[in-house]
Amino acid sequence: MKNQKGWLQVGGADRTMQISAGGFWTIDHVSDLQPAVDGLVIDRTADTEVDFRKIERMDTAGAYLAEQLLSRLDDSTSHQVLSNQHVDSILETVSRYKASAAVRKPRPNALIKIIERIGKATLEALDLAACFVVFIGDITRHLIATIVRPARFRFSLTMTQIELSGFNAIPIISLISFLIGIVIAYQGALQLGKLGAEIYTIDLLAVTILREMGILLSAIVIAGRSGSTFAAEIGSMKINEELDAMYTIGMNPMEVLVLPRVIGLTISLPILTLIANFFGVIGGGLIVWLVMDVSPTMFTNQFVSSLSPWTFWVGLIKAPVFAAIIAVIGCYEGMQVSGSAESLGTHTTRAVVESIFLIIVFDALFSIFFGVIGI
Amino acid sequence: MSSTNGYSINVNDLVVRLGNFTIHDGLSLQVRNGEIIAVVGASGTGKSVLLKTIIGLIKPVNGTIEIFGRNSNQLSSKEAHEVRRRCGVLFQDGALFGSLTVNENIQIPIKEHVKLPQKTREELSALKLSMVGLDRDVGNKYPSELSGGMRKRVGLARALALDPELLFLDEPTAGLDPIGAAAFDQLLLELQKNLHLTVFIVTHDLDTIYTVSNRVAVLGEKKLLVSGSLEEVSAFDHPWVQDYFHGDRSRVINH
Repeated sequence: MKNQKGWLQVGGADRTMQISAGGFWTIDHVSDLQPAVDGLVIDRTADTEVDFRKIERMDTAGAYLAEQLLSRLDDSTSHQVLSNQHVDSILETVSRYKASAAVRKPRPNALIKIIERIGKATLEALDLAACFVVFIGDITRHLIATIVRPARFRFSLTMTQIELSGFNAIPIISLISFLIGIVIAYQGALQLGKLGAEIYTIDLLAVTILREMGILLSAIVIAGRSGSTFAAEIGSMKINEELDAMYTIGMNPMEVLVLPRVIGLTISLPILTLIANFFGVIGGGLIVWLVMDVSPTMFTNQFVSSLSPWTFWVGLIKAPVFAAIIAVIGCYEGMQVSGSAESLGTHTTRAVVESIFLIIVFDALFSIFFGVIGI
Repeated sequence: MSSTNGYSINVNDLVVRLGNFTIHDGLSLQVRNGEIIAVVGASGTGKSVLLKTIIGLIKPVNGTIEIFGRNSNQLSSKEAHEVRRRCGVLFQDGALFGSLTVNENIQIPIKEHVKLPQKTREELSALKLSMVGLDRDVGNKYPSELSGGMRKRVGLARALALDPELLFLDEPTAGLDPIGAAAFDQLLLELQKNLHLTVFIVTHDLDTIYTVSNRVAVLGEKKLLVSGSLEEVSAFDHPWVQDYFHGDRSRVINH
């Protein structure tokens, strides 16, 4: 079909003009025919005859082009159109719809558009902030309601969340902190060895892993792992109108979806942190033993003496806070999903990025706080 | 124009299985050039599956499917591309691309298959929008901002973007109000007449069947129960067919 062409010819003697079209006026040939139609020089004093009779096949794209041709003739003096039945019927269809399609809005000027965009973005940001505050309030309200009436607590859903976001994350978190323990001990031994203070590698290991690395690593891995899951799960339920269905059945998504995730993660992240601490210290200890030739007994003695009573707790106190940040942001972003697959992707990404960002901000705040109170 | 033997679609001895479940077992169906065929059947008789098998989304276990006289199993990828260009499909919920505006959705098939200047593409998509009864303003919206009925219309506009010879419609009037549905039927008739479309409709809507279809095919018991003109089919002696055409809901139309 692509081999057959459409054509447009212009002829005629003085005072008359003959425009004839034929062949295939279909979408495949529109780009070939368009220049011919645009380049048509119309003699407005001549009697014009348009002949569509040789057109074998015309589709709406071709008819649109023919319409363009005819509309250029409209304001010239006299013209007549010859066509066959096929062309007539499709031209009629297209011209009818063309009339209603022709209305076009004027485009606003570029500056106004930019200002409009900034304004919209600002309002949106404020709106989002307000929504987030409302969301946190809503969670708190439901949390208090659950504490007051423990019967409403969704125990099995919470246990499932602990399994999914906590238990299933044990292997990856153990491995990562084991490796980081190795890295810290190895680098510590090298650097401190230059000062002849190799033994302090153990102090370095204890403080770094217990105070910062254990919790930070676990939180970041969980933000990537569970934060994204929460947003995607809740988001796709939102797209499917499952949340609306829940409301109508009388289940509150806050109670059924959000609280189990928040409580579940708040329980599992401290446990994961303990595990991360353990494997980090094991990894570091292994290097200290193999590279520095310090026996496990000596390591234990040095390790215990390096700890202040708060070292361990400083790390662990942060865990529930970070867990709440991850879970609340994950669920919130999931709830914000609207309509499209693109929005689901955007909000899932946001859930991860925002929670990692906030975790680090809060870690800094904790450091300052602990520094000020002197532990 | 479509094929030499007079059939746009020729399905022979089709066997389709999804998992362990046999949907079609030896189904045969012919669709003539230029006709509007309505495929009906109870829920779960595999109407949509048949449509998806014909357009190549589901691979049959056995049997042959010819579109425009060419066996779709034996097409080179270039030929298959060409066949697809000549078919338009409207999915049940429109299946619009959520990250693109309505205009971009309609222009996608055009961009993919033909080279056209941006302005012509815009004009064509506005024309298609107006053909399916939507305002030009709708063109700048995203599918998530539209109602279900509007999404369906946009889906049809996208299916019509390339002026296909063969149009597949999956429940085109479901979810439309009666007036909108009637307008849809009229549009379909007009397009079919002017563009010589062959239309394959999966539907439950008796109004659509009465108004637009030249032929009705009833699926059931994993096969084609019967096909023919409306009179022939409604006279067919099968409990479901009798219920369907002579039940409570059909009375309004018969009287």
